[in-house]
Amino acid sequence: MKRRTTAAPSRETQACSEHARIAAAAEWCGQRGWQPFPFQREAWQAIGDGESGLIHAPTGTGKTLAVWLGAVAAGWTAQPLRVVWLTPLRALAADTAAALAEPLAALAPEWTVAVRTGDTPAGVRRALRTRPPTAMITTPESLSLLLSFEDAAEAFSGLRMVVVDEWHELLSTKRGVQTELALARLRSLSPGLLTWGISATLGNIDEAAAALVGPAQRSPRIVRAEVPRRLEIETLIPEPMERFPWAGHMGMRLLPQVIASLENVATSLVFTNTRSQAERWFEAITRSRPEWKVALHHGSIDRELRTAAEEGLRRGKLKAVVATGSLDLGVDFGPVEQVLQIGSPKGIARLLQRAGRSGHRPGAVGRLICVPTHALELVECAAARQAAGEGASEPRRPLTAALDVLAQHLVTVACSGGFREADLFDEVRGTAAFADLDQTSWRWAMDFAARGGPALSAYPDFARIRERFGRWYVAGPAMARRHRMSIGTITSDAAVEVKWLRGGRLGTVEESFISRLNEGDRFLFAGRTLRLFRFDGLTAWVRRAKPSAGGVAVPRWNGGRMPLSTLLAAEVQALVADGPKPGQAMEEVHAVEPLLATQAAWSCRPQRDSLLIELVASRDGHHAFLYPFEGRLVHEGLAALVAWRIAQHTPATLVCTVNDWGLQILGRQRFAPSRVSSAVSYWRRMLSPHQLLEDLLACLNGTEMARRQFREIARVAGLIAGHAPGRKGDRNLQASAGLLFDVLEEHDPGNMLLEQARREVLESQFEYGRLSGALERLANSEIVVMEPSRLSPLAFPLWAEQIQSRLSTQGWLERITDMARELEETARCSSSPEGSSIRRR
Amino acid sequence: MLVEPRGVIDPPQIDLLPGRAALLPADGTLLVADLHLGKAASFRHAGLPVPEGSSLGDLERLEQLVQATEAKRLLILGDLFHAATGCTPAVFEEFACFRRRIATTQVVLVEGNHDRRVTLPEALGIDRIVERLDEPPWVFVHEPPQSRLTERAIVCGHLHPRISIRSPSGDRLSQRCFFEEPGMWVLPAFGSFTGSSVVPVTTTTRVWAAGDEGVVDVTRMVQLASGRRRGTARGTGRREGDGREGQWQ
Repeated sequence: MKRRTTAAPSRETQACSEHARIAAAAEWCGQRGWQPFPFQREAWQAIGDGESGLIHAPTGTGKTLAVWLGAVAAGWTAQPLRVVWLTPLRALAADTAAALAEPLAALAPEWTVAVRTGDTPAGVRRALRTRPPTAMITTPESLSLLLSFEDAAEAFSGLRMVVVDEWHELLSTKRGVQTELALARLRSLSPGLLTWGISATLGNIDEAAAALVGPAQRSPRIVRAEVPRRLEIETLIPEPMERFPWAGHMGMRLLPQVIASLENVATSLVFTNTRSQAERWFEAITRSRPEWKVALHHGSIDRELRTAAEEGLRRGKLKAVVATGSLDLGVDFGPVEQVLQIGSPKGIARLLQRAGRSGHRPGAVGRLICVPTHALELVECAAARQAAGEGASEPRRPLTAALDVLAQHLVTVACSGGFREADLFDEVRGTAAFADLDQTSWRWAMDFAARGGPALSAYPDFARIRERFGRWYVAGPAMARRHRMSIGTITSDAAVEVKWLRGGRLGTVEESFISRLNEGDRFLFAGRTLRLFRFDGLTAWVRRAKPSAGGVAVPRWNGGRMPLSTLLAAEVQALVADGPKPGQAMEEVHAVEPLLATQAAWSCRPQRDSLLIELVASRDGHHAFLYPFEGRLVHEGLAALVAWRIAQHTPATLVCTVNDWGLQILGRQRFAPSRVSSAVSYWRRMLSPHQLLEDLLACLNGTEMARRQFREIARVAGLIAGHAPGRKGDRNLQASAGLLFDVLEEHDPGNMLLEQARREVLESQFEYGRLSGALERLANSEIVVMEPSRLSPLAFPLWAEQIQSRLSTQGWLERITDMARELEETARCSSSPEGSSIRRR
Repeated sequence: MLVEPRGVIDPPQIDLLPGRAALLPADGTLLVADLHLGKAASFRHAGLPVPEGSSLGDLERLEQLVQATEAKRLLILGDLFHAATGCTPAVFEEFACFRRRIATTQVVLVEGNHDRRVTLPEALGIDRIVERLDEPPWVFVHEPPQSRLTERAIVCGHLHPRISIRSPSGDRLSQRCFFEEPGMWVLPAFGSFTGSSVVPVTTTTRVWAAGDEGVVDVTRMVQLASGRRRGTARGTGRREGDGREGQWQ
């Protein structure tokens, strides 16, 4: 196996020894009682041939070894840093290290593996810098940090291969862009570097591979794992259906049925869509079955507690683990026999990913049970189940032209021994994310790093990078230190540590949550009922409190809610309009049928090729409900657009709510004509595709959306000071992103980061392409305007939804006066017995 | 908007002005608090690329207020400057220039916690710098004191107060404000590049939304809205103010 050649071997001997090494790898597998899959052999061969590429396969099919044994068999000498293995989650690093180390003793005993992430102790990090391992497992952020050190060029000069694990997780995020830039840097430092990605199945696998290897490299090898796995997916049908709520996101009504499903199975994984949901469900399950060993796992819980849960799961000691996406990835847990999915899975890829977490014992079947949280989610579960059966999968689009990430990268490279502008420009354009970068944007990013943007050209006090003899360097050691502290693209709200008064960490919650509690208040966190003892700005000190049914707050973590994918949205609309196709067994749709009949009786059942609009008046004001079935992202854009057009028509203050099925616009005064003939033409005007972009840009200024999006951009581009974890930053340097947005708009309107915020809202948030497609479609659809006397079953969840955006064309005083009048009226109404006009069922 | 402080013997009047300033009509004193001049410069010093313009803009606004009210005296209730690193010659010069343009007005600074870390040159033209100013029935300080004298009206800044109100139909007002507890007045931060935090409201608090176009007493609105939040199921289903600075969100 070992190769110590002094002279370059001839082609034949090279091919021959490679053959021998691949045979050794296969033999190693054989010793473990399994034969390599064809896709694994294909990958080994491709790596041996010096190709780059992407492996995609369902979870738990041996993708890691397909790449890793290829690297081991490639015959590289055991020099430091031969392989960099990128993992999206720090938490996965240890498991990955163990998996990579396993075959080394037999196949390459002189190779070493080590982990280097944000969690690695400082002493270990120093040791790793002086004596790097052969293969280093790290995260995109830690890699960028390593690239910012002055010895980066030397350290990575012997690198042969970089592997990006779970590439689909990074792909459509800014971390993906950061990874692309880091990969381009590595390719410059070590020409001939191989790039391999590991991904779940995606609808756009070619695009994903191109983004990984860079556009310069044509036709990367795509290895597809054809490993059949049997999956069984079903849905819990509420009984009796009549009592099942029309809206809501906890789904507690199904608790008895969930308990029954857990009962007969040794180990289950219970997935939820949000962390608050996980806290509630964990509490409910442990309350109904105190004798069961159940654990809770989500991203805000302390690492140690999470590790304990994972360990319990691995050893089969737990009845169930309630988890969020934090357990979506990583090494599989053998004992898991079934997966429960609380709430609609919202996407086919997610459904398959989660279903694939169960049934890893030989011969076992993956089993997933969908648990809807309200009646209409039954349809979503049905649609997801059906689409998964048909083998469909969604695409994830890589991000492009993220100037905030580029601005950060420029300083990173400047920290590591400087760069020549022309060279770095070419290198950056060598990534898919910046392939179309023009000189103007590049110039702006350079100016931004050097002088803070053109507006600051007169201020000598600012400089992050400076030019000396044709190369750009970081402005000083203090600047480099500060920059290294803020590397990364993940924005989180100011996190507050939760600690026991007697010592011991529980995890983190967002500052905005804890600051709303008073001392002595109880809240649910990490699966425990806690009482807040003291909050000192950095740490929330807590004591254990007696659990009880009501009056306990549950932290809400900011984090985007998963939108229904386009694929599923279309399926859902078809099911609502026509019901199941002949011959399809769809118990879920059958169960919802009475509800859809009520919808038809009170208003109208939405049909394909038509848009249903419902106008309802209530104590809250005048509501318009529209049901385009385009998913919540498109509905957000549509709601903002339509509200803006309405408010241009008649000055008004409007609020919008959206969900995956439709959108609501609510105003105090009547804003839409009710007579059918004029109503249809009114809504046609409001929904016209004409002047779409102009109107959208105008309405972005009237709402908070661009300002909200700026939060992340400001952090990544370095407008907000980074600081060491667990420590408050310099108080003198605190400013919210919203405030910075206002200052830039006022005093530096040409700042391209503002432009980027608007573009990101348009493209990522509203999905501009889909939005304009939707308007074209609606223009050719029939419009059906109904005026039901009460909220229809479809309207109800929209009414109960959180407010998405507000828009006003009223003057300041007028708006306050209206609000005051409204508050007075409500107070008068609620003190009289016949109070509200809309009641929850 | 002319209002009278409560809990003060023989109450004088205070005039709350649009643009986050107040006037004592009796002796023509214009009150502002928390300008935080040079904050952008201190950010740039630390490598955070924030453009200039807010300090100059605020001084221009202040000059207009001095002229419109024909104030005899300008009383700054602390935190005139943000930080030593932000006090560049340019920032000092902007202030000195502003001072020369309001030559007939006396300028008094009640020192704030930020000012104490800055060495203020003579050339700024500030007539008096004091820790607190005792002018019965008023006491002018920067930070609200721990204990209050009942017969005096304390006037201060430092807190950067903001109010957030939600209406039943979902509209939300989030705005810097003046507020009064018996015996104490708090002014909103005057500086445009400053943050703010939500005022804890009790039954004895009076609150005025401080807009650029006007000042509106919103005490009753605050009470109605907070009663609603506790009382109804719907209020709890929606997300509360998210702590972000802003006007209408």
